[in-house]
Amino acid sequence: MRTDKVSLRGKLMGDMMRNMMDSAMGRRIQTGELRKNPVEPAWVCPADYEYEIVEMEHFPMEYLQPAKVSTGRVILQLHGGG
Amino acid sequence: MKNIYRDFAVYYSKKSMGGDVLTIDYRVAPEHPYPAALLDAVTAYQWLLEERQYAPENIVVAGDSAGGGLALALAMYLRDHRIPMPAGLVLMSPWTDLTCSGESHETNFHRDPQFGGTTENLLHNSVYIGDADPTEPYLSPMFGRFEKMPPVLMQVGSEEVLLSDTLVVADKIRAVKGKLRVSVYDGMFHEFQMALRLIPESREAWEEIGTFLEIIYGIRRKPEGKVVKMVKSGRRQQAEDT
Repeated sequence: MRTDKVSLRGKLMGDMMRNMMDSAMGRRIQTGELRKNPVEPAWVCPADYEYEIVEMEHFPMEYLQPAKVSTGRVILQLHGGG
Repeated sequence: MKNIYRDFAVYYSKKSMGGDVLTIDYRVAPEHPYPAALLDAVTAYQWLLEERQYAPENIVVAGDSAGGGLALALAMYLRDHRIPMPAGLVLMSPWTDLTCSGESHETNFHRDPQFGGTTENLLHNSVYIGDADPTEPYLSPMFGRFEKMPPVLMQVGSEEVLLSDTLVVADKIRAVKGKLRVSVYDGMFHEFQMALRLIPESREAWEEIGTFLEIIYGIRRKPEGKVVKMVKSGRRQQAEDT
């Protein structure tokens, strides 16, 4: 009953994840070791957005704004720990 | 901070029809246990109110996993300290119980592809607790009070060990007649929204977030009327000809 509603692509992704967790890397993902210092290519801000880094006393904030509009709306995003 | 949160920021901006997004790289454990993350979230929220003069009814707090729990803790903190509340909360697979007492930790033990099959993971060995009591509501909002909270959207995958973290909180919000939408995505895993447009479930989840934001912000779109006459623009005509 559960799997019927799942898309093929969604199921495939879950299965791939399961396989990855069985590999040597799995433990490092589960314990959070891998997310401490993520090594990733530099992020490229899409055109039409302004991207600003605001340094607070204890932590940095990243402020994304559409370049040509000001709506007065804002979303405060809190990440999942890394 | 991972790039996926920068991608999320772009999604949030689009889904809120051109809203701004502030993503904070708050202090994390083990170097900075509780309450460092909560205090940083409060600081950022007040920066939005005071430095940037956003009206509270134009602020939505969003968070995934530990960030989802933190968003709830932030809302409780604001309520308890009589700081104007945000207009809504968007929570993806929130981790609301650091004691891991939910029944899904057992029922989904063998289903969850990320955190299942073992208790040797970051859920069970949270260093964020520090010397505090893990049932403290600012740490595990599941044990808190849910009166006077803003409208909440919660999304979670049915396979997650953290499923109860959403369902129990949802029951508590319903018990105090809070505004709530909770969606359990069949067969989905922790933070499946990170697949962005790659899988249909994630696309649906982002659509749902868009609808929620439109309601919360009171965004009015042009009603979809019947097309009376199609007028082709020169540019479109040109594109069709080539």
